[in-house]
Amino acid sequence: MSLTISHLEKHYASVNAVDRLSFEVQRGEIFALLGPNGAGKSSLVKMLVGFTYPDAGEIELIDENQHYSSIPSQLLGYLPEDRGLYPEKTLKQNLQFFALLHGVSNQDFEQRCQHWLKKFSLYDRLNDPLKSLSKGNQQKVQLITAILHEPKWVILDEPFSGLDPINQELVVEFLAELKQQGMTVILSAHQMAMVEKLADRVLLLNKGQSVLYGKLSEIFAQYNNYMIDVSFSQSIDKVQLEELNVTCSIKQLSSTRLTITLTEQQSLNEVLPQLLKLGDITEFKNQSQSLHAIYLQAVAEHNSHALLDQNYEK
Amino acid sequence: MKNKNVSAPQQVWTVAKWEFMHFFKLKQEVISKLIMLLIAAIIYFFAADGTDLNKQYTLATNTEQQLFNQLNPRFTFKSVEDINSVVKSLGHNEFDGALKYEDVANTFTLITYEKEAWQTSLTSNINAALQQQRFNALNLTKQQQDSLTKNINIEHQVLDELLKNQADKGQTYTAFGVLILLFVAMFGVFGQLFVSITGEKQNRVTEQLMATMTPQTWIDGKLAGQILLAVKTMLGTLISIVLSMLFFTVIIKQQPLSLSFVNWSMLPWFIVFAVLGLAICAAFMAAIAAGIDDPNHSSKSALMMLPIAPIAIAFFIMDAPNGLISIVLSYLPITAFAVMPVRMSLVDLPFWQPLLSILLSVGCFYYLRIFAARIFKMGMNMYGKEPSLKAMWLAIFK
Repeated sequence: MSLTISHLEKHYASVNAVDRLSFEVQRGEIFALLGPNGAGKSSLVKMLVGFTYPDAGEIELIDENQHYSSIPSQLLGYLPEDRGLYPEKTLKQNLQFFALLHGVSNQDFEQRCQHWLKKFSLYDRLNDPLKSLSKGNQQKVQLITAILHEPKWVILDEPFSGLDPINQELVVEFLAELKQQGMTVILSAHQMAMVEKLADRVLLLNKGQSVLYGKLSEIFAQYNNYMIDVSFSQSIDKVQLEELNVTCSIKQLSSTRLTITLTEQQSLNEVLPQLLKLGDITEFKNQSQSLHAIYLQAVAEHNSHALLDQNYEK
Repeated sequence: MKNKNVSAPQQVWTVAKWEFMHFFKLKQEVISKLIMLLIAAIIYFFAADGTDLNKQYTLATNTEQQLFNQLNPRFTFKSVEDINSVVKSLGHNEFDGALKYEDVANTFTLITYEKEAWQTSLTSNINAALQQQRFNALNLTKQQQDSLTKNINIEHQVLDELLKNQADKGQTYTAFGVLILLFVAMFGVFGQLFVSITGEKQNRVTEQLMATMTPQTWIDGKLAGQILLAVKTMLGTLISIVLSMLFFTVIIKQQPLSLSFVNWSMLPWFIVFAVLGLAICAAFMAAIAAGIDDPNHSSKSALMMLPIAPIAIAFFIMDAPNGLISIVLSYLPITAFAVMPVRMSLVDLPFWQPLLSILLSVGCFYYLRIFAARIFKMGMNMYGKEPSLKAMWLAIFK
């Protein structure tokens, strides 16, 4: 069972919301969709759940020898970005309505409802109207609504938004449990720290295109090899720094400290002798970048490439 | 996944029940019935107080006339010398009232201290007795008296053999009775569908729902729920009317209730048309509501009232039930549910005509619900932008 997306395109007027996108989501993994606002995440999600159709390309889901062109509702648990439930109804009525629509038996409903509401410390509010709950708690009820029928595929659009750090951690635990139960989770989020904790693989989108795609461990390995922190025993002479024969980017963090981002064209072997011209090196370490920093760097690089392409076309 | 597979009809039923229970408030229903009972009790109390058949009334009068002997025996008359002094002390003497006779003008004046129901009965009694007295004075025979009191009726005969004998008004009363009930139910559907569909959009539940079922299933469920609610409203109103009639006829007037004005043989036809009318109008209203994003700022809300127009039209076709316009409107699905029953009550129609009208209405409902679902799906993907009427029209035929 896997979800394969090939050369997917979606256009709105002159905007390429999704542009020749290809990737694969493996069974049982947590797959994170990242990208700035307007990157095309929601457009992609809407095609995955079958709300809209691609203009080109293909979505293929194979489940028990059945082929689908989007994730069918019987296999899907979905938390939309634009979300809400019935505020006048109680938690139980809301949850039961969606459970019934998915064919969950009364016995299973009671059991699962109790399990998840207790997990989120909401069980004693079971018969309270939804509107009496705080916004964060309402969001937790909505999360439970999305997975109460134990779907094989779960798509969560911004599950952390509007939650305090304690509740964000609760959602991390919740997602880990879904994975443990064998569900495949596609997650769209801006909270990189949470994604770092959870995701097996990520896809970073910018302007509808894939900017970064792969296992999180591989992405970290790829990015963190190129950044080095160097400390000197004495202050760095700025004139000397400018005269260095290097093509890589050098950022001065303090009077004695530099961060160097290596390029493929210039290896560490070539840069190191140049650095020694600045003075004695007291510390030399590979700087570990956070996913947040990788995200910013990758998007910035993609934007500058896109600008160059535009200028070239002109 | 341990859940059983859910079919679309099962989901439709789940949505229909949800929709029905959303608007059916048992407590409210019980309270409204209790208020009705309370009103009935109050009416009964006042009616019983005013129409106490055993109570005797004594009146002072300044004349001795034969006609007093012809009045209801519960009214007793006593001649007094000075009627004016009796009038002055009314409320404090033994008399319930005074009947003053003016000799010159030959008129009676009834004077009482308070206004009570028996006084109306007394004046009509005196009027009838006086009229009889005048007939007797003129030496009129019974036949002559009847001829003077009988209303003059002009009978209108139409030679068109298809037109029914208008002496039998039962079919028309039944048809219009069903139409009035339909009208009441339709207002309910209008309000509920509007609140329900736009409310779900405002509460942002729609995407969650659409990940669970198709837009068609959702619209079908909503329509089923609203039709059930409308039928409940019609039945509730009917029961209230029948109970009120029973109350006023049997309890207040102490007469048997006659339902002879109901034409039972035509009733099943009219019920079928009423349910179809509800279905068509609800589907039309759902299609319009599906295109409304913000009910406070949309100009489309007024369009939802359109389906009520055919009921008004039905009242006008009575004058020419076999005219070209009436015939066309009785087949046109958006008006047939109101016009055909009225035509059926006035004209002898062959069996196939109402049947054809029903089939056309069923077809219309089938497509209207599909159009509503298409508009809804299109609106849902417009990210909060309200679709224009043109966009809705294009979505229908996409």
